[in-house]
Order: sequence, then structure tokens, then C-alpha cells
Amino acid sequence: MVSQPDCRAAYLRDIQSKTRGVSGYFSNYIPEEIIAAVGFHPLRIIGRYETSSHHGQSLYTPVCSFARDIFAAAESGALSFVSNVIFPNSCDSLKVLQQMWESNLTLPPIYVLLHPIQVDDHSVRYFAQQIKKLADILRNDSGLSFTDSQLADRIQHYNQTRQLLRKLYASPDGKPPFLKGSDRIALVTAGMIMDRDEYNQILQQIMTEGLSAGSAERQAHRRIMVIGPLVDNLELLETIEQCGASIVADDVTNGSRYFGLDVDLEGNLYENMAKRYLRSGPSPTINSDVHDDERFFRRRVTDLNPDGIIFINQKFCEPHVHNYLAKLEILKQMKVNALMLEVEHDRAAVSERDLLRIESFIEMLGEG
Amino acid sequence: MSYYLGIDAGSSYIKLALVNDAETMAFQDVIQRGADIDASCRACFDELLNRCQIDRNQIGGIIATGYGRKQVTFCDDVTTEITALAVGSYAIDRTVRCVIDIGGQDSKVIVIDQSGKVLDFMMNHKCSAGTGKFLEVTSASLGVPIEQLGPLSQKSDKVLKLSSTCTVFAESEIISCIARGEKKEDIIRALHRTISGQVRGLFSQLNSFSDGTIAFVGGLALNAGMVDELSETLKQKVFVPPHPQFVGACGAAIFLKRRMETVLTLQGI
Amino acid sequence: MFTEYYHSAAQAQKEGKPIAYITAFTPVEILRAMGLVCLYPESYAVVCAASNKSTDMIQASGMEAFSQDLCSYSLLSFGAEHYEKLPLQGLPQPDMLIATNNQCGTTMLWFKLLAQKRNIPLFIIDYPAAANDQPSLVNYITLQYKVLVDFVKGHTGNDLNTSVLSEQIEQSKKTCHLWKSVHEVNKARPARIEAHKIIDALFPIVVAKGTQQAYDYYDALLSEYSQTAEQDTADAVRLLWHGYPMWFLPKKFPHSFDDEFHIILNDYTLWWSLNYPEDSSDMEALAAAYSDTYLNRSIQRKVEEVADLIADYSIDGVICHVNRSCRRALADINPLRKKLHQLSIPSVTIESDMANPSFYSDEQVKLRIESFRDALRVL
Repeated sequence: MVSQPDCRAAYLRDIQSKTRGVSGYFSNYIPEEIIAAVGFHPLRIIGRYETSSHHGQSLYTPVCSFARDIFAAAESGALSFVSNVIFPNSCDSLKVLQQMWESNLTLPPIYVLLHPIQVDDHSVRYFAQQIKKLADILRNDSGLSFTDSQLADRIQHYNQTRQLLRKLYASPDGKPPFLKGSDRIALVTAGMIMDRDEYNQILQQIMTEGLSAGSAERQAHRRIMVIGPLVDNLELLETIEQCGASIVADDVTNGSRYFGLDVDLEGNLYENMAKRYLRSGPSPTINSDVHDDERFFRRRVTDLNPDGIIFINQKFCEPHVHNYLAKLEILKQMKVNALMLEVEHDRAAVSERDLLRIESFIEMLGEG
Repeated sequence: MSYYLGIDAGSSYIKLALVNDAETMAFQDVIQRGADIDASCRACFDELLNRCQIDRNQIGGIIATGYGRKQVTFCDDVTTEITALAVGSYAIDRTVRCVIDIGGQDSKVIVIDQSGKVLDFMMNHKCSAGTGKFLEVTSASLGVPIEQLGPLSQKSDKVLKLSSTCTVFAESEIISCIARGEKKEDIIRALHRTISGQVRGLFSQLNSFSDGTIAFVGGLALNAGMVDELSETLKQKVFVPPHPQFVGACGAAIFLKRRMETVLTLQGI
Repeated sequence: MFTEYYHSAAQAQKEGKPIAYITAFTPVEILRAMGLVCLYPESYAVVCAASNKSTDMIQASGMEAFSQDLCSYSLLSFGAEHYEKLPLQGLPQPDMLIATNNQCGTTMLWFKLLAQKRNIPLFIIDYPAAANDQPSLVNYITLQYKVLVDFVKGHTGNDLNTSVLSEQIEQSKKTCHLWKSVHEVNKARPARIEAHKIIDALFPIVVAKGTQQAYDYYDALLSEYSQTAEQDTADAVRLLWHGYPMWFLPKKFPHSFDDEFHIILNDYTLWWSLNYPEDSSDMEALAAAYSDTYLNRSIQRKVEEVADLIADYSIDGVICHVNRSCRRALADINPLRKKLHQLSIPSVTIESDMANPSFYSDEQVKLRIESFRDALRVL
């Protein structure tokens, strides 16, 4: 499956031969529709490539392990198959990665999408301008173009993905989802890599088969919500489940934060994309009203009623450490137990220390 | 008389405790962890039975805890140290509401309620600062054996500040202190204070503890100087149970005993 | 001026004047023109670090376990809430928080956490980094300034006094220019003043640049420096300290530099010399100036600027402070050293932190500096 790192290289080589090229990007704030409309295949750069230990050493320690891993991959040539890379205007670790990339590597060329970090009408208009700029740059540099209706067509495909993923995550008739949490996140991760049409077909198929299947949630299992940035370590998620938990919900970059709202197809498509991407829900790298964020989180936790929440943070990830500290205060008031795991992005295995933490946490919840 | 064996397969040492029907520790042993944990545990277990003249049939159950717990193949069950330490500390003193364990490679702070149930826990992030390893490395650079650290630090009459919490940097800082003519006892006391500070950092992330006895367990609890510093840092005298290094192994054994008894009760036996 | 600033802040609180905590590169001119008393928690963190309170205050914050993840200024700020023996009796409580992201993303995260913990209204100004499209950038920022004005008015009832705003901006322009001139006394060979003494004079440009007081202070300082005797010989090695000082050290830099080697320039202090364009409206001038802070520029521009300083100040060697609290500044180091290598200028890196001494190892730093001195002596 594409969610497993080993399978990705072969899949992407195949994609490369069928499209204009692969356009790598970071962040859920880069509109994939624009990339697809130009004819590139949008690839979320996730990392965990095979690189030797001497690569990535020029990034200093406090930069997050994800940025370090990606830089090592780029330095070693593991990303030489992409035609271009699009950076967001997000956290400082990604800014460092971007600047190091610009000054150390000649290929692939990079673009920066200056999305705002505010969520209001001015930001939407500014963001729409920036998305249009990105579209023009991609068109000029590739020699390819698209019409508004072609863009609308691509948007529709991506909206379909969002609708299908929302259904997969939802609880129809109040019943728990039929896919376990680790599988849901693996599925979303696959969507960040795969061809959109192929992916939508697979989602349809899973939906059809799944509706007749039973719930994936086990009665005796502790109900856990997982929060964090991009969590590509499926083994870690499976370990949580094997220790006696059901991941009933997530708030991770390659989970529920990926599919949010649809893009409105009526009116100015660039403004609609800007609106959709900025308003898809709170995120640690976006400045939304602190009290709105708190209310949203409290409501979500109250509705979900988890036994506990596990934060999976990348080492040295500033936005998510701050997010953890902010949410911890709220969870203490709500008397919901929380655990924070700090992981290195390029490590696939689950460390003994993390295993102890997970087991102890679930044991502790189980005594309730 | 039947016994339950608790094995705490830690990162540096393996502790074995035989707990009797009255849930008190009857016999115990400790060995340095070898490359083959399972073989080391078996050998130690056999030797313990022989020394205490206990028949294998008197062993009602065997449980392992600690980092190496899953490598012990001859046990009936496993549990995490968090549970083991909580059960073990509470069994000794029911006023205990918080357990601090500073191990070889990690530090833990566990909060329990009035029934001994774990309410919350915290472990050190990232590095060895605030663990036994920190003291091991830094005391080696002072040329002071581990067992002399406590008595020596209690002779200190000066509050020396070490700014480094990193083990590697602290070593360099100690060399500077020695070069400046600082006394060993003052340096050791400062090292103890550094570790206590790290533990306090874990404490401050738990707000489920408000008052009650704080138990300090594990091998480092045998260091009287460390006990003094921790008490001063937490502004409360910590309680060191007898044989603090065996609390985990005992707690695991008690946990297994109770679990097996519950199973038997449910089966109507 | 220093003690007066903090006493007047305490006095303002007693008088019920509205107080705002702001980040280093917030357009303070707008806020002063609306009657706000503006305080800088980062600047106060520097005071705490220089008072040797860092270790204790970071412990008091309760976030010591995250000291490798969080900016040490923010840790000191959170620690100040729980620490009793604060320098200058601490900062008065704010009525609002205003943060920007034109120096780093950390300040936004820090102020958001502060806003939630203490339930204080927060406004954030977004300055997209290294933007090429100046007109749309300036437009976006000036629109945010209008919303900022509404925000402040909503919480204080005060209107924006446009004449005071214009005066503040004019004063800021002149003061920034003067601050730059203060540094330029060291372009001469031999240099006239050690860089750490210039750092000691940083305070007014950080907290009071739109005021006549700051201008007068630097005017007097420039006269004094211009008449100061040369501090070294014509043969002394002239060094540039790139990046943040180490506030917990008495001379802000490791004490291993002395007679032969002089740090005559710290480019960090020049970060406060903002470029206010002429022939722009007030709001547009502020948008342009504050979006073009050093840490918000592209890597190429940053490297070229340092290269220009090296040429202008006849620099013989560069020490790069790898400050673990500031991720954004970390991106400069390797590209800069590459450039220095092309220019045949020796350089060395020192890894530490600007305000947390637990990341500083005297022994390690000594070793690096000794090796660096040997390399410079060879020249």
C-alpha cells in the first residue's frame, strides 16, 4: 500500500511516466487543485527516505526532525525525481528548510506560497492573490496552462475526496467507524501520494465494503484521540491499538485536518480556495482566535468523550509543543488524561521508552 | 507458604523480589544486567530459590516489569513499572500519593489516589539529564565511587550552582569547578540539586498531586544526599521505604498475586 | 533611561493607563499614537538573563522540561509569573497583547499561549517573509493595521492621533539613522569602541525609538564615541559577532577575547535600524519598514548584507552564534559561512543560547575560540 514508505518510490516512478511531472509540496495550506490543474501530480513530501547518516547534518539541532529528515533526503538526491517543490509560509523549521534548500541545492527549483497566518476577509483576499500568483508561476515555468473550467473540474475531484473521507471518518447512525484509527490515517496518507482519480475509486470501494462491516472499535478498548503534526509512523499508531486502545478520532495533519471543508464551485475559484484552505479548522501554525480555538476543542472533546488523548509530537516541533501546552491546561480542567510522545520523524520503530509510556497510559486508563 | 516472584529487569540492574501471602517482601536479590536478560533472570531465580530453600512449587506466579520485561520468557505476566511502583509504594504506606523513581536511564513521577490507583505520571523527555546516568558519568569524572556520593555530599556547606543540565556539558563544568578549587562535596551536592531540579520540572507538569506522602524509590534513594536535596527542592521531606530498589519488583509481585486471586474469585474457587 | 522606563511603566499601571505587551518589531508608533504604554517581554527577559536569574526563573516557569523546545525569552516570561525576586519588581500586567511574526514564528506561539493562560486579548500582525510582491504585501499589511486600530480602540476607547503617528515615524527614522551612525565610528581603523559597549546602549532603540529621548541619547553617545580615543592598535584583529549576544555573560560575549582580538561589531544591534521609506503614507511606511526586518528577509539578502558589513568595517574574522532559541536565525549560519569561505574570512561557530546558560559550556567555547585565534594569528 502506498502508505508504506517502501512502496512509494515504485508508485511514484509510475506516476511520473504518466504525468507532466511530480510537484512536491508541504503543508495542508498548499492548494493541490492548482498543481493538478497545471498537469503536475501533487505529492505531499512526507519523508522517511533511505539516506546515509552524513546527510542533513548541516541543519542545527533545534530544527524539527521532519525538516532534518527531508533535507537529508534532498541532499542525498532522494527527491531528484520531483520537478519542483512548493513551500508554505508556516513554521520556522520549514522556513529554515526552505532557506537551506535554496542556498545549498540547485534542483529541484522551489516556490514559496505566502499564505497568511490570519483567518479573516483581508487574509482571504491576500491568499487568493498569492494562489493566483502561484498558478501563473507554475504555468509559466512549465509551459502548461489551464482554463477556469479545467480548474473547476480538478476542484471537484478533490472535493469528492474530502466528502468520501468525511464519510469514512463519520459515525453513520451513531455507530463507530468501520476502519480502525491507524487504518484511517494510513488511508489519508495514501491520498497525499496517489493519483486523485485512482484514489477516489479506492475510497468508494472501501466505503461500499465497509458499510456492511462491523465497527472497528473494540468494547474493552480505551477510547483514544490522537493529536499531532504529520504522523507517518504507522507502527506507532498500531502499537497504541495493540496496547488496548481504539483510536476513535484524530487531529493530525495526515488525518482529519487534511480533508476539512469543500471548495465552493460558485464564484471566484481562487477566493473560494483561499477561503476553504484558511477556514478548514484550527491549526497550530495558523492564528485563529484563542477563545474560539478553546471552545472548539472543548466541544470536540466533550462530544467525543475519549478516555484519554495522546499527543504525538515531532522532536523540536515548536507549534505542536505550544499546542500541547495550551491543550494540556484545558484537558486538566476537563479532567481528561493526556500523554505526550516525542518522536523522531525518521525513526520507524517504536522505542522502548515510548512503548512503556503507551502501555502505562493505557493501563492507567483501564483502571478507571 | 506460597510466594510470588516479581522481576524488575531494569536498564542497569535486575531486581528479584519474593513476596509472601501477607504481601510483604520475604526474600530479594539483585544482579547486574547481562547481555541475555532471560538467562540472567533464570540463573538469579534458581540461585534465590536455592539460597532461601524454597521449592519451585511454592511459587504461585512470576511477573516481570522494567524495560526488559518482555525478554523474560518464563514469567506468567508482565506489567509496566508505573503500575508496579504505584502498587509497591502504596502497599508499604497507604498515605503515599506520589512516587518518584530516578532510574538509570529515566526518571518517573507517578501520582496515585487514596486507593493506590494511578492518576497520572510523567517521565523525562529527550536526554539523560535528571537520571542516574547523569550522576554516574559526572561522579566518574570526580573519581568518587557511587556509594560515597551521599555521605560526601552531606558534608557540603556551600551552595554551588551548576548551570549545565546536559550530562556532557556538566562534565566539562565539573572539570572547571575542580580547577577553581571547589570541594568535591560541594560539587556532588550541586549535581544532586541538578537532578532534583529536573524531577521538579516533571512534578510541575502534574497538577493532580496536591498533598500526601511522596515516596522516593529506586537505587538512587539509597543516596542520602540525594534524598536531602530532593526533599529541599520539593519543599517536603520525601519518604524512602525500606529496600527502595526493590519496590518495583515487589509491587509487580503484589499486582500479580491480586490479579490471580481475582481470577480465582471470579471462577468461584 | 533604563530605570526610568520601568518605573514609568509601574506608574502608568497605577494611573490606569492601558498597557500592552508587544514583540520587538511591532509597529509601536501606531500604539503610542493611540495612548498605549508598550512593554517588551523580550527586553525584560534580557534584563532577567543579565541579572543572572535565568536558571531560577526557567525553573519557576514549570516548563523546564521543554527548555530545549521553547525560546528562552518565553520561558523567562512564563517564569516571571511565579518568581518572587524579579528585577525592577517585574512588569505590570498587560491589558492586551500584540505580536508579530516578522522576527520569528515563536513570538506568535508564545503570545497565543500567554493569551490563553491569562485570558488577555491578543492581536497578531502577519508579515509574510521574503515577499517579492511588494504592492500586495504592503496592501495586506496596511489593512491589518486598520484592524489593529479598531482592536485597540475597542479595548481602550482611544482614537489614533495621526499627527502623533507622523511625529513618531519621523522620530523613528531619525533615531534609526543615528543608531547606525553610532556603529559607524568603528569603520575607522583602529576602532573606537568595543561592540559590547554598543550593546549596552541598545535599550532605547528597542523600547523607545519613536521618542525624542532616544534620539537625544544616541546623539550624545555619537559625540562621545567620536571623541573617544582609539581602543586598539592598527594591527588588532577586528571581529564581527554574528547573531544574538549571550545576555548572561558580563560582556555579552565569551570573555576569551582581549588585547589582540576585538569584537568591534555585532550585527544583531543593527537589526533595530529599520528602513522607513520616504514618499510613502505613514501606514505604508510602517508596513514596508516592519516587513523588512532582518529575520524576515531572504537568505541571499541576509548573507549579502553581512558581506557588506565585513567590507565596510574591515572585518578580519567572524564568530557565528548558533543560538538554539532562535530557529529562524539558524538558517543563516551555513550559507553565511560558505560566503565567508569565498571571501577568505575565517569564521567559527559557538553553540549556545541567548538567555539560558545551561546550553553554554565554557570549556567547549574556550576550545573553539583558541582554535579560531590560532587561525587568525596565521593571517
